[in-house]
Amino acid sequence: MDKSILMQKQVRDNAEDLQKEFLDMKNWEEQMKHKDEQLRKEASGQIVLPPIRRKHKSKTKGCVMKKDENNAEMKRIKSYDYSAWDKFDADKACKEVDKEEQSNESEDERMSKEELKRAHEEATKHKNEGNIFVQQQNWSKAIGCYSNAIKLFPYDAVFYANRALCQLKLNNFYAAESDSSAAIQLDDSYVKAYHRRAIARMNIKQYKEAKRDLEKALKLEPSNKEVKLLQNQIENKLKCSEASTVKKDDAQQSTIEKEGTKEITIEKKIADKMWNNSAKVQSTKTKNIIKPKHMKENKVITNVKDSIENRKDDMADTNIKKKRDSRIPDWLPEKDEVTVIEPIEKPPHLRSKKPLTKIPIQELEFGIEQYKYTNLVQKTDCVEEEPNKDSVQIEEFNKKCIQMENISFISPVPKTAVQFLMNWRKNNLLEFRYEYLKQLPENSLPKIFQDSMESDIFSQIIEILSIEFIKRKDQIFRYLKDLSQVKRFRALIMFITNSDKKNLRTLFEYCKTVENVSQDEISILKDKYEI
Amino acid sequence: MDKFEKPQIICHIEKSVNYSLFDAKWIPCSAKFVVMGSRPRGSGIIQIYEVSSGELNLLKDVERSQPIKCGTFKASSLKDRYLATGDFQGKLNIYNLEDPSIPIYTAIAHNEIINSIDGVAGQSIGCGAPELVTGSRDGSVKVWDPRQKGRPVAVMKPKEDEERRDCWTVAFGNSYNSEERVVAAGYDNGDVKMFDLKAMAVLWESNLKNGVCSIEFDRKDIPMNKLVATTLESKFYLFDLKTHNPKKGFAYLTEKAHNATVWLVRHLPQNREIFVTCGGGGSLCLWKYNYPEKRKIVDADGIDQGVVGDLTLLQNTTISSQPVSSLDWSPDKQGLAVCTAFDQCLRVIITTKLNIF
Repeated sequence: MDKSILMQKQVRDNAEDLQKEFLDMKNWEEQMKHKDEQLRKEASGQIVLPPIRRKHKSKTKGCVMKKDENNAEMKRIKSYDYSAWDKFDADKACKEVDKEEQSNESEDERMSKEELKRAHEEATKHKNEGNIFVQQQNWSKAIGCYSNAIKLFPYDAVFYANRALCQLKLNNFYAAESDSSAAIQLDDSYVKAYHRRAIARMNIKQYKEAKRDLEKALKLEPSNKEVKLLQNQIENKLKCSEASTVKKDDAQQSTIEKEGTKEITIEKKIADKMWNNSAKVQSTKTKNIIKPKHMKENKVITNVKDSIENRKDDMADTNIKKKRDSRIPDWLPEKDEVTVIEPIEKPPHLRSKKPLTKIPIQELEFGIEQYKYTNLVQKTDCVEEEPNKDSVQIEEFNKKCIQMENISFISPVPKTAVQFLMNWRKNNLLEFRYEYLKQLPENSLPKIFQDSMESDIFSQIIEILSIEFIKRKDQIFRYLKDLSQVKRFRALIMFITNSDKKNLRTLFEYCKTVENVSQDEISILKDKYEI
Repeated sequence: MDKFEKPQIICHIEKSVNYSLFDAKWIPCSAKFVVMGSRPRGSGIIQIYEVSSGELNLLKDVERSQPIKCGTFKASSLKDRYLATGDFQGKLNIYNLEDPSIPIYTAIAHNEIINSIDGVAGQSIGCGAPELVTGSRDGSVKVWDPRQKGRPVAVMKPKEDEERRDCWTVAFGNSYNSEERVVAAGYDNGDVKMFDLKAMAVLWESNLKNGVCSIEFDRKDIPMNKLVATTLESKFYLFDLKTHNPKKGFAYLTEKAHNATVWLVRHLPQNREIFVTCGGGGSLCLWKYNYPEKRKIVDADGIDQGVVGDLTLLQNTTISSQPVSSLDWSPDKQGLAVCTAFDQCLRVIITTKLNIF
C-alpha cells in the first residue's frame, strides 16, 4: 500500500521535474539568443596565441613521426640542364630562402633563458680579459676581447662602452662614437657611455651634439667632475667655432657659386642620359629626392617627350630646357634656390657613416604646370604649322599618358576597411574612386568592411556608382548586392539622405534597363534597401 | 522506486530529415547546432538549426560537393565560432558560418575519408595554440594549425613497410599549458595510440582486441586524468591516466554494455565523471565514474601503480532503432544534447537531475 503511494508520488515528482526542465529550457533559449547577439557584436580582443608548432625530428619504434614532405629538398639543377633552368622560378627560390632566414632568425630570438645566461657568462670572461689588457694599456688586444664578448652576447652595454674607451685611446673617434651609441641604446642611463660619446664627438667637431650628451650625463649624475670639466672645454670650443664659421660661410658661398657654373656645363652634356636612369635610381636607392611623389610621372612624361623629339626635333622645347638647370625636368614649376640632390653612387662601404641630412619635402601644386607644359608642346606644333593630324595624335598621346598616371596611382585591392578608407580619402577625384571601386572583385566589399562601414563612405560609394559607373555603362548590380551584405547594412539604410535615395532609385532603374537583371532579384534587393 | 530517482533521458525534439546524418555539434554560446551529412545523390550538406520553444528552425542549408563525415568548433574562438569539417575525400575545411558558401581554410588533408576530427584550445586561453587533429582511413593522424595554410604541423603515420590501419577516432588531451598536448587515436584493429605532441613521440600504446570506435579524454585542458575507449563487440575501456606503471601500464576497467557495438563516448562538459555511451541498437547509457579511495598504490617493486575505481550505470534508454552515430552535449546547458542516428533522425535530448551528482 505504502509502496504504491510512494510510487505515485515519485511519478508525479518526475512529471513536475520534467515540466520545470522544459520551462527552464525556454528561458535558456532566450538567454542564449541574447548572449549570441552580444557575442556577434563584440569586437574581438586580440589574444596572444602561442606560436605554430615547429618541426621536431624524432622517430619512435612503433610509428614514424614524419614531418610533411612538401618541402622536401629540391634537387640541385645541373648547369647543363637548360630546360630545367627555364622552368626554375628564381623569384620563388629567393623568397623561399628569405623565409628560411626569417624562421632561423625567429629561432635565434627564442634562445632560452638558460642559453642566454650561459652566453653572458662566456662573454664576461672575455670582458675580464679585455679589462686586464686595458690595465696594461694594450688597447688593440683589449678591443679584440671586447669584440669577442659582443659576438657572444650582444645585449650588454658595458662591453660596448669599454670598447669605445679603447677606440678613443687609439683615436678611432668614429668607431668610438658608434660604440658608445650602441651602449646608450642598450642602457640609456649609462653616464660613462654619454661621457665617451661626448669626447668622441668633440674630436670629430660635432660640438653641439657633444654638448647635448654632456647635458644628459649631468642630468643623470650632477656631481660628475669629469663631465663638468669637459663641458667647460666644449663651451669654449663652441664660442671659437661660432666666430670662425661666420667668416668661413662667406668664403664658402663664393666658391660654391664658382663651382656651380662649372658643374652645369659638364652636366648639360650628360643630363639627358642621366635623367632617364637617375629617375629610377633615385626613387629606389635614396630617400632624399625632391618631390618623390612625381617620380612616376616623370617616366611617362619623359617618354612622351622623347617620342615627340624624335619625330620632329622641336627647337622650342630644347630651348626651354637650356635656360634652366638641365637636371630639372621642365614640367616642374620654376623656383629659386632649387638644389638638386644626386643619387649616391658610391658602394655602401665607401659611404659616409653619418646619418643622411633630412630635407623637408614641400607639396607643390603640380597639375596646372603639367597642363601648361602640354599646352606649350601643342602651341609649338602650331607654330611650325604641322598638319593637323599630328597635333591630334599628340593630344591623344597626352590623354593616354594622363590616364596611365591615374591607373598607376590606383592603389591595390584593400584587405581591410582601414586600407580602403586610407586610399579612398587619399584622392577624392571621382575618376580615381571609380577606378578604385572598379578593381574590387565581387563579394569583396562585405569582407573588407566587416562591420565598420560608415554612412558617409556608404553614400560616397553610391554617388560614385550613380555618376561614374552609369556614365561608363559598367556593372553596378553586384556592388548593390555586395553593399547590402555589409554588416550593419540596415542601420546604414536608416540614415541615408534623400539624395542617396534618389541615386539608389536611378541605380535600380539602370540595373533593370541596362543590365537586364531579373525583376525578382531587383525587387528582393529593393526590399533590402527599403525603396 | 529507485528507478525514478535516477536521471531521465527524454527525447525533447525529434526531426527526421531526408539525408544521412553523420555528425551534430552545438554552436558554442547559442541555442543552435549544426548537423553534417550526406545527401542520397552523394553530395554533402551542412544545416544549422535553432532550438526554439520545443521546435527546430532551419536557419541555413549549405550544400557541398563531398559528403561531410565530422566537424568541430573546438579549435575556434567564441568570437569566430568557425566550423572545421572533414569530408569523404579527405579534405579539411573551415567554414565561417556567417558566410558558409566558401570555406575560409582548405587543406587536402588525407587521401581517403576523414573519419574523425577534434579541436583544442579555441575557447580556453593559455592552453596552447588552437589546433585540429584529423584521423583518416589512410592510416595517418595529422595535426593542423589553422594559421598555417595547407600543411600539417605534425603527422603520425605507420612506417612504409607496416600495414596501414584505418584510423577511426582521434582526440586531444593533456593540454593544460601552452606546450603539453597529447593526441589519442583508435584504429580498426583495436590499437590505441597516444602521441605526445611536445616530445613528438608515442607516449603509450595498447591493443583492445576489437576495433576502437570512439575515444575521449574526460577533459582536454587538464593534466590527463581519464580516457574512455569504446570498441566493437559491446565493450568499452576506462583508463586512469594519472599514474603510469612501466610494467602494467595504466590501470583500467572494462564494461559490457548495449549488447552491440559501442559507437560513441561523450563526457558531460559540466561534470567530467559522467559520460554517455551510444550503442549500435540506438540505446544510450549514462555512466558515472566513482574514484577509488586511493588513486595509486606502491607495488611490490616499490613503483607507483594506478588504481581504478568503478562505474555506476545511471540510466539506459533506447531512443532509436538504428545506431546513434553522434552525440554532442551542449556546453552551455547541463543535460542538453543533440544526437544523430542512422534512422535519418536528429534528436534533441534532455537529461534531468544531472545536478545532483
